Formats: sequence, C-alpha cells, structure tokens
Amino acid sequence: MATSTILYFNIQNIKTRAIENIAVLGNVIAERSTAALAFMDTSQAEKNLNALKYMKSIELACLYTNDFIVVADYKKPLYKDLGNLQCIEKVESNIFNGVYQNDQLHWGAEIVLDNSKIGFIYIVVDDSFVFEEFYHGIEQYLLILLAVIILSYFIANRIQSFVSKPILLLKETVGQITQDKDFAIRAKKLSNDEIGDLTDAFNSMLEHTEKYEKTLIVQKEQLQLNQETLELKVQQRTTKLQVLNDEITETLNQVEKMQEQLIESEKMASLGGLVAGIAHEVNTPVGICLTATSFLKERYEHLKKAYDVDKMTQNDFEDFLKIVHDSSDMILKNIQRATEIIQNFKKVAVDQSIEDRRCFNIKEYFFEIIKSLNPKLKQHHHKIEVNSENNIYINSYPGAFYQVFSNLIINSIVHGFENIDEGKIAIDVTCNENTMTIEYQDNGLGISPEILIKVFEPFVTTKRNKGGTGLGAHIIYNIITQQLQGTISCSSDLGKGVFFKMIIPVVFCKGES
Amino acid sequence: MSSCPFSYLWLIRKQGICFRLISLLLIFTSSFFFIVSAQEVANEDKIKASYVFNFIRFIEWPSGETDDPSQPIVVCVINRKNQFIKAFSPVVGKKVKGHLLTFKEITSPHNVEGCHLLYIDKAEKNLFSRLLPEINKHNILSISDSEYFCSLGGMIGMVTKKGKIKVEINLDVAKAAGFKINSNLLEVAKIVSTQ
Repeated sequence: MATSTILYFNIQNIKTRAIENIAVLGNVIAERSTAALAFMDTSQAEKNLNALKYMKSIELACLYTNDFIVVADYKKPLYKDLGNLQCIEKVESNIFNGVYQNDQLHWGAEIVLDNSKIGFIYIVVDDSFVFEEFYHGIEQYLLILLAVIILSYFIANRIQSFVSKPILLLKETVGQITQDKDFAIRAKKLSNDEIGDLTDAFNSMLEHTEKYEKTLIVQKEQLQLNQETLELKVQQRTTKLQVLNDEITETLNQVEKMQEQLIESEKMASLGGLVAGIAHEVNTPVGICLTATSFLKERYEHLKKAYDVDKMTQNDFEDFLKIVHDSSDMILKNIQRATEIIQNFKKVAVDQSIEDRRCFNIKEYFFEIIKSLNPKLKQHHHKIEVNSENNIYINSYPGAFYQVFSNLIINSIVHGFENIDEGKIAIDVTCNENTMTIEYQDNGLGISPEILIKVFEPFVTTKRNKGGTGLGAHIIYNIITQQLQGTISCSSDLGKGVFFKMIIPVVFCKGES
Repeated sequence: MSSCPFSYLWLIRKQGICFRLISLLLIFTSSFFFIVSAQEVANEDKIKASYVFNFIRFIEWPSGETDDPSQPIVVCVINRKNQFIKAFSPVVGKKVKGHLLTFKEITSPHNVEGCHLLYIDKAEKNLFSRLLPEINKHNILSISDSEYFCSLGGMIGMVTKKGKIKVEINLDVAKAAGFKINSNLLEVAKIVSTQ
C-alpha cells in the first residue's frame, strides 16, 4: 500500500519533472529560434531543432509560424524512416502544460518576440524514456539492496559465529549443570571481551552456588538429625505424658471414690448429728427421771428407816405420798416426752437410712423435719413457715426430702443467720399436674456472687476450718437432680437472703402408707 | 457539339455559346496572371518591410537614442522611384519595445535628422558612398536591399538569393555606431565586413 502510494507519487513527480524539463528545453529552442522564424531562416531553425538529437527521448519537434506553417521539424532517426510521426496541424493551448497521450508526452508553446507571438513550437517525447531513469534507479536500488543483503548476511554470519560461539558454549555448560546437577563444572573462557567477562561472572556465580549448595547439604543433614532427635524426644515425652495421664486418671478415680466416700461419711455424719441430737433431747427427760427416781429412792429409804424403828409419823407418810405422787408424775411426764422424742427421730432416722418410697403428707413431713432439728433451732429464735395445702400426699422418697431440707435449714442457721438471732425461713409448696414446686427462702446474709456460681459444686464452703465440709449443697443438688429427677436453681443477693427453687416431678397419692 | 470541350455540360448546347465561353475564360486567366505578378512584387516589398520591422526587435539602439518609450521610433525611407513606404502599412501603428513606429519618406539624403532607421532602396545605391559615413555618424541604423550594401559600409543588408531573402550584417560598423545586435539575429545573418 505504502510502496504503491510512494510509487504513484514518484511517477507523478517524474511526469511533472519531465514536463518541466521539456518546457525548459522547448523554451530555449523557441527563444533561440525567434530570429530564424522572424527572418524565415529554415536552415537555422532546423539547426536549432537538430540540437534535440542529443536527447534520445525526443521523437518529434516542430517549429511553426504564427499561421501554423511548419518552418522546421526534427524527427528521431528511427521515426524519420518510418514516417509515421508528423507535425500536428495546429498547436492548441491544451498541450502548453504538457499532455501524456499514447505513451507520449506532447508539449507545445508559443514563440514570443517583443511581446508578440511569432510562432509555435511542438515537441513529442517518448514516455518510456521518461521513466527509463526511474526504472533504472529502481533496478540499481534493488541491485544495491541485494548486494547489501548478501553482504550483511555474510557479515552477520561471521559476527554470529564470533559472538554466539562463546554464548553457545555457555548455554551448553548451563545445560550440563542442569542435567548433572553438578555445580563444580566451569564454563570455558574463549575471549577477553564482554562475553569473556560474562563467562567469568557466570563461573563466579557457579562458585557461589557450589559453596551455597554444600552449606545447604550440611544444613539439611543437620536438620534431618535434629528432626530425628526431636521425634525421639517427642516420643519420650509422649510416653511420659501417657504415664502421667494414667496416673492422673487413677488419681481422679480415687478422688471420685473419695468424694463418694466423703458424701457417704457426710451422710453418716448427718446421721451422727441426728443421733447426738436425739441423745441430747432424750438426756434431759431421762436426767429428770433419774433425779426424780433417785430422790424417790432416797425418800423411800428414809421413810423405811423410820418405819423400821417405828418412828414413822403420819406426817412423814403423807409427805412421802406427796413426793411419790409428784415424782411419779414427773417421771411419767418426762418418760412420755422421751418416748415422743424417740418416736419422732425414729421416723426420720428410718427414712434416712432406708431409702424407700412411700406415700406421705408433705406438709406434715416438713414439720417432722423441723421438729428433728429442734435442738439446733432452740438455741436461737428463728421462725420457720411452711405454706402448703394440708392434704398433699405424694409417693416419693421422704429420706431424700429430709436430707435436702435439713441441709437447707442447717445451712440457713449456720451460714445465713450467723450472728442473727431472729431469722425467718419460708417454705412454699405449690402443685401442678405432675410436678411440685418448692420455694425455699431465708432473710439471711445471702451468698456472694463468686460463691453463688459454684454453689452446687462439691467442697464449696466458707467455713472450711469451722467444721464445714462444703458438701451440703452438692448433696442437695445430687438428690434433687438424680434421686428425685427434678431441677434446682439458686439465686441470692448479698444481705437479702437466699432463694432456692425446686421443681420435682411427683406422683400424688391419697393417704399415708 | 463534340468539338466543344464543355459539350458534356447540359447547359451548353450550341457552338456559338461554347466559343464565347472559351474566349471569356481566356480573358479572365490572362488578367489573373497579370494581377498575380503585380502582387509578387508587392509581396517582396512586404517581406522586406516585415524584415525591417523585425530588425528593430532584435537590435538595441545606442544609449540615449530610444530610452524614452513615449518617443516613437522613426523609420525613414529613401525610395524615390517606388512607393516602398506603402509596404509598411501592415505594421503601421504597431509598437516595438514599447515605442510607436512612425514612417517618414525622405527625398533628400541630407534630411536624415530625427531618423532612427534609414531604409535605402537598392535603386538608390549611388547614394551609398555619400550617405553612409553621414548616417553612421548620427547613430542611424542603415538598412538596404542592395547586395553590396554591407561591404560598402552599410549596417544591414537583405540579399535575395535563389528566391530567398538573406540577411547580411556589417557587425563592425554596427558595433562602432554603438548598436547591440541580438545573437539570434546574428545566427541567421551572414557577417560581412567593409571592403
């Protein structure tokens, strides 16, 4: 595209130049021929035209007078013989700027002398001659181009072998190194130019790489060794840990066992407490009975002595009778009381030791529990309220209830009402279809938040060194959740007492069994 | 009918008519030849006149002579026998190098004052020896159709040879008088020296 455009413009340029050339030539001849025309000197005119023979491209040239009489003409030798080229009849103004027609350039001009037209000149140029130079130029250009290409090919070949040989050698070396993974190989230096420098630099790089590789291998080996040692160590540690773990598991088992034992012993302790309570309760009436009996015996012996010596007066006898009456009355009263106490405790103790289900009145049972705790309650002036319907009978484990509520009440007395003489405990019982909700609350000191969150965990106590085991609440939790299959929750504000809510699934029954 | 050369024409039917026609034709042709020969003489003068006109175009007068374009170039003619001046009629009123051409017929060879160019007919060749030195002094371009004109010291001569008019120039005389002659003119002219 570009080439054809360039060619087109070149050809146009050449055409224009050819017209310019012929115009110059034609005008020179016309100028020279003015006198010949003015004086009708045909031979001079022909002589002038004949000068054109040195321009091979000119085929025909004609000189005319003003009225188109041919004064002289020139024909290229070849055409002279052929006679097929003639001067045109009239030189029209359309060829004054040159016209290309039938492979010819036609050019004409007026011949002017002293501002007046005295004749015409007409020249025909062979087109092929016009472009001959151009084609010749292209030919030469192509020849030179070819020569340059061939020359550059040879030069490039030579330079390539000169330049690329060391590079190829270098490439070969690189290939060998890549293949053999041997960094001890060195590239051969062939020259002392830039490529030689490159070879040196490459070799130096190889040296570095070799050193680095050696270090790497050593490090790798060391790493391997370290890894093996580490693995061994880990194995040893693992074994040790395994042993420790086993030990811990065993210890934990032992702890669990111990915990169970502790719970059991706590239960026993509570039983022991009960027994102590009984002993204490029974001790007073029995003591009174003993005193009354011994006083009675002493009065009897005193009376008998008097009777034996017949010194017994009526007064003495009447006194004795009064004493017997009073004493026996006292003994009876106290024995009755002792019996009552024992009866009460017996019920609780039986429930506590034998975990059997039975039907019982929940409200009455709460009173029995309270009664059994009387020895402890008596020391203060605490008040316990049981708010429940009277005729609620449930089929459940009364021992469990005893454990739970005796613990709760004792906790309230020991912890909640510490330094409080008139505490108040309320137990509210409400029943639904299958469940019974028991709300227990006191107005004691309450539990601190940090204790509250772990209140049901074992061994949690604030009185470790004052006889507390920290198992009470845990026992409560276990009984409610496991034996009674219920739920228990605790809330407390410090200074406002505690609140326990227990929801226990129960089976209701109709009477005591 | 057959004796008449125009008998084939349908118009000419009688011998008498044919005779009259032929005689009429003869009269016409003879008169035509006469006219043609008279014309030829006039043509030669016309060519000579146009040559003179052309010489003015190729020649520059010495400085000061024709510097002012508003001044006409005065062409003087000495031809006492022939009315040659009439041959200049086609170029009357034409301008050469900006100058108007005026023609003046002089009868006395001493009356050349104001002439730029003097044409001396070959019939006046006996005047040459007397006239030429005078003319050359006055920077007047001298032209003649006499074949000895240049060798006698005239500047430009027009010599008829083999029916063609050839130009001769006495360059020395022209140069001496301060005239500059265009090389193109010199190319077509024959250079002649005074003998």
